[in-house]
Amino acid sequence: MHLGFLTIYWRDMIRFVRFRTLLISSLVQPALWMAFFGIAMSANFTRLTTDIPPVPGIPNVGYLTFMAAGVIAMTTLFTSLFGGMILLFDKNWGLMREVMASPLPRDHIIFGIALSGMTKSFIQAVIIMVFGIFIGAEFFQGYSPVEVTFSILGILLFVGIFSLGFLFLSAAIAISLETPEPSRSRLLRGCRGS
Amino acid sequence: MTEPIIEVSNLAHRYGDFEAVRGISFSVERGEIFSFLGPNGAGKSTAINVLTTLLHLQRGSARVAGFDVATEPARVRESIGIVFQEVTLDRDMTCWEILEFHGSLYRMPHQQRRERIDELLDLVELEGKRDTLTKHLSGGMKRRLEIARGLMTRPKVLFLDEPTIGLDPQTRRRMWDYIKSVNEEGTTIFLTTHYMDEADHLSNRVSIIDHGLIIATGPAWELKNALGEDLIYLETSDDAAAGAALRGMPEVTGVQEKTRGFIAHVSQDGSHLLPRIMEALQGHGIRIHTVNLKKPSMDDVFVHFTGRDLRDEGAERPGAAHSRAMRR
Ligand SMILES: Nc1ncnc2c1ncn2[C@@H]1O[C@H](COP(=O)(O)OP(=O)(O)O)[C@@H](O)[C@H]1O
Ligand SMILES: [Mg+2]
Repeated sequence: MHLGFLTIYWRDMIRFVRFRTLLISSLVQPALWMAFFGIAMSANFTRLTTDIPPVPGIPNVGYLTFMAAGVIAMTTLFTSLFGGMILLFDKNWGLMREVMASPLPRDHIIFGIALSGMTKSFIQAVIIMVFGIFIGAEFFQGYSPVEVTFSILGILLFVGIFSLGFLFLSAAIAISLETPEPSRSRLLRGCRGS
Repeated sequence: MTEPIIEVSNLAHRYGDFEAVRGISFSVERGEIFSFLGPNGAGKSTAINVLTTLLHLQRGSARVAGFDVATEPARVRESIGIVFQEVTLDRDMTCWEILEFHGSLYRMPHQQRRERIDELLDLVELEGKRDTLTKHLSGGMKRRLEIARGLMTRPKVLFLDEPTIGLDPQTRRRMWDYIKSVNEEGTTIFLTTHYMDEADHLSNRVSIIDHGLIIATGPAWELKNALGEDLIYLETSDDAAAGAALRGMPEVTGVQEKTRGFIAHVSQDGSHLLPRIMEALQGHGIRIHTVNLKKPSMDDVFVHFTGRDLRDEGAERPGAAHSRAMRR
């Protein structure tokens, strides 16, 4: 088993941690989003919806909780779209050439980037949940610890699949976009397995 | 006789309709420093990219380190190191991480990687910069780090595409020393350059390449000898008559017209011949305005073989070439 994609993963995570502005904004932004919009909007929504009788048999969640799920999805979406696009920067800066000239199988580039993108999404999802609970979202109301564990696993599974989908999409777009380098067709050919 | 480490025959490469390399053949012996000398746009990088499997082999054949570039690209990749023309270091990684990343891309074992990194940082004198981000390195340091990276896997051949482009003269000399010491340890070096002095000073053999064709190949001294022993530049009251008179002398191997005056190639020590030339011209009643005697340089070699000056069009000032290389 060739673990070359772990090398790509390691490098991408180093960049994530080291590029301070990006790191901080990607972690703080979703939290701020929730804090400002979430709290303000949920106050309004709660006021508007107090008169409406709850539909029987359907659990009622607060607006903040409802919104937190959306913020997780949206953040995952953007992180993943950007995660693949990093390959475009690599190509334009010539950084990709080192990898292209190495014996690493081409598909490992995409696996590595997908894995690191997924990791970033996980980190963000966890931060949003923790912060959400902190400002009053009620994710697991009335759940037993076992149910909570399963819910969290479910959320991560969802985030994982969702982000992988968008990562592969954006990575594929990034690779097939026109660049000054003539390496595009080679990379694509490599990805189809060579 | 051992098999040459690089063997190329009739290699050609085109971008769309444009033929960048038009059928070149050459071979590089184990252990030598071989250079491609030619102006920007001559096709040097294209040739290197084909040899390093970054570009697809379109026409001709090439073997590197005993493997066929077209059919065994993976084996070729494992056997070579490359320093690209443009800087390809991640700005946000430290010197150590750059080398570690490279080593694991090539699946070097952990222990070997660590030892090699220490050894190479030592070789290129960057031990003190081990944990410095590459964006904080000077141009020369970046180049040295790239050379170290190219050497991580102990390649049989190291490809250097314009290794000293945009560096100041002192740093260039230091780079030459590094390249020589690497070569002395047994690595074959293939380099491209558009600096005459670099090809002259550094390499065992030079190929002059222009417009995608190899024009001449040989040791620098041999190429220079093709021009004769010395060059004598003259400006006279009647250049045409003077040229004709000189062509009649057995020691004069060639006369080359310039916009003003002309250059005589002579097969003997020019300082002894010059008084006789001047006497002969005065005997024809020709007055001499300017005279200049010099040993042929690589510049002259280039002009001789290509019929044009490297400085005229192709080459730019080092600074300009550098900024272009950076942008690309
Ligand atoms: N990807 C490309 N597409 C089209 N033309 C190219 C490409 N790369 C290089 N060329 C052209 O091919 C010629 C040779 O380029 P190159 O090999 O980079 O020369 P050198 O390295 O000797 O300066 C140049 O005229 C250049 O403009
Ligand atoms: Mg070039």
